[in-house]
Amino acid sequence: MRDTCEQFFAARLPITGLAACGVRLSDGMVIHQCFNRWLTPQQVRQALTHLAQGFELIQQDKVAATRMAWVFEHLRVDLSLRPDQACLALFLENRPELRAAEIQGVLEAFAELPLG
Amino acid sequence: MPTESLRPKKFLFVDDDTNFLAGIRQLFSEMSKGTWEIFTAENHSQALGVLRQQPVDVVVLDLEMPVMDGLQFLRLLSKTHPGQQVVILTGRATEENRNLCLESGAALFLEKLIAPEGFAVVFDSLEALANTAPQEGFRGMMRRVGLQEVLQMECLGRKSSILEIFTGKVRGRIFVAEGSIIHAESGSLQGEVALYGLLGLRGGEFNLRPFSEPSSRTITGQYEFLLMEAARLSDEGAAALDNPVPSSILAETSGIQQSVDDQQVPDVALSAAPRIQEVLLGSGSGELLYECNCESIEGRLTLLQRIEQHAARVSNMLPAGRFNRIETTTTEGRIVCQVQPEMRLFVRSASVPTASI
Repeated sequence: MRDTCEQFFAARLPITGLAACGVRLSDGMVIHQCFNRWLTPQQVRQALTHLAQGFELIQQDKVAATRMAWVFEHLRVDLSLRPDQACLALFLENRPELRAAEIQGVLEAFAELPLG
Repeated sequence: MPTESLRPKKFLFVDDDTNFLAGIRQLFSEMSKGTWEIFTAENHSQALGVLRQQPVDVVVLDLEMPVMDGLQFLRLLSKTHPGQQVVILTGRATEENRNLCLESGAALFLEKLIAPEGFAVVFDSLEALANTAPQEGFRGMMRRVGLQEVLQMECLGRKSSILEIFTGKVRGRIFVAEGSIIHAESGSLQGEVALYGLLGLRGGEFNLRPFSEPSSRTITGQYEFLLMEAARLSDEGAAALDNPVPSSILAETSGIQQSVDDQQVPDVALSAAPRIQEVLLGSGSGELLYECNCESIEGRLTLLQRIEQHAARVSNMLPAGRFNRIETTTTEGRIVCQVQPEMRLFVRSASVPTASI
């Protein structure tokens, strides 16, 4: 699964504004990659786990989400949750140049990725 | 204050005609009897050098200058020196020039009149302007301050104002009366279509002006609905610009003939109607301010509180800045939860044809 994710990163990333990305697999393993020095690997690992819990937060309100974006002043984190609970997070600089279609394309591709 | 009125007023005249500058300096120095301090510059570069040395009360620009003309320099000053009073003094006082300059932020547009009484008129106008307190309101750039934020502040404060917006190709106005968006106009468009088009612009300038009644009131919806819908359309517009939908398809689906040729206006802004299903607005302390079709008020308020707490923990882990919102895509549609110090907002909309993020 690690290899599949790393191949996915290599094929689809980086995209405009991407600072880092990470995947939390269904067994809890986290695979990540930083594209600049803004975010450290430790920050990405920690934050990914917390941000992915956002799906559970809204699940408590009986909302089943497959995608979510946490938007901060300087950062935007787009997440995609698969039925097998694997979760992709894209850590993007929050700036106007971000291309919605580009982000959406990566999230859609992750949802269809065969992770075995 | 007495000290303010005694202070010499500083004027910077920018003109490529050195004889004119010398004449103005001599004439206005005499007319002001020492109450004016006059600086001159032959081009924008020298003018910026003067402004770096000291602020002036009024910059007076000629329109026709080499390299960077007066209008270009006026627009540059509005970005580099926001709030600077700028007057255009030109020998080519056409109506078109006048409109362009006033829309670009000039305080006055004056004609160069050769006769002595003409200079007296110019002198009196500049004197009056320099003695006028700065105009209330502000001028900003959309990239620095979002139009939506400005509108939201006006509405939350229950204010009345006109937001003037202009880019290279688009000019428009949004009217806010006592906290409600009541009218918008952009070219030949009016109402919500104009509002969504203006709020979908990616860059440009705006001025906040005192309110005056529009020719007609074309918008009646709650501002929360309108702004959320504008945000949704703007997001979809960004996707549409990356992967444009042919105009012919839009015309078929919307029944609206497009008349805006500016690429910055997202096509989808003209095609969609609001499909918001549930709204809850709370105060910063969690008090319910407004709700519409809310499935569970307590549940939504609790959700917003949980999100706020969770976001605070994430903010401590990352150099992310202040939390703004969560955008969620579900099988049924989209949910936005915005948490700000002064407000909390929950909006649920129905599924839209184009998947949004």
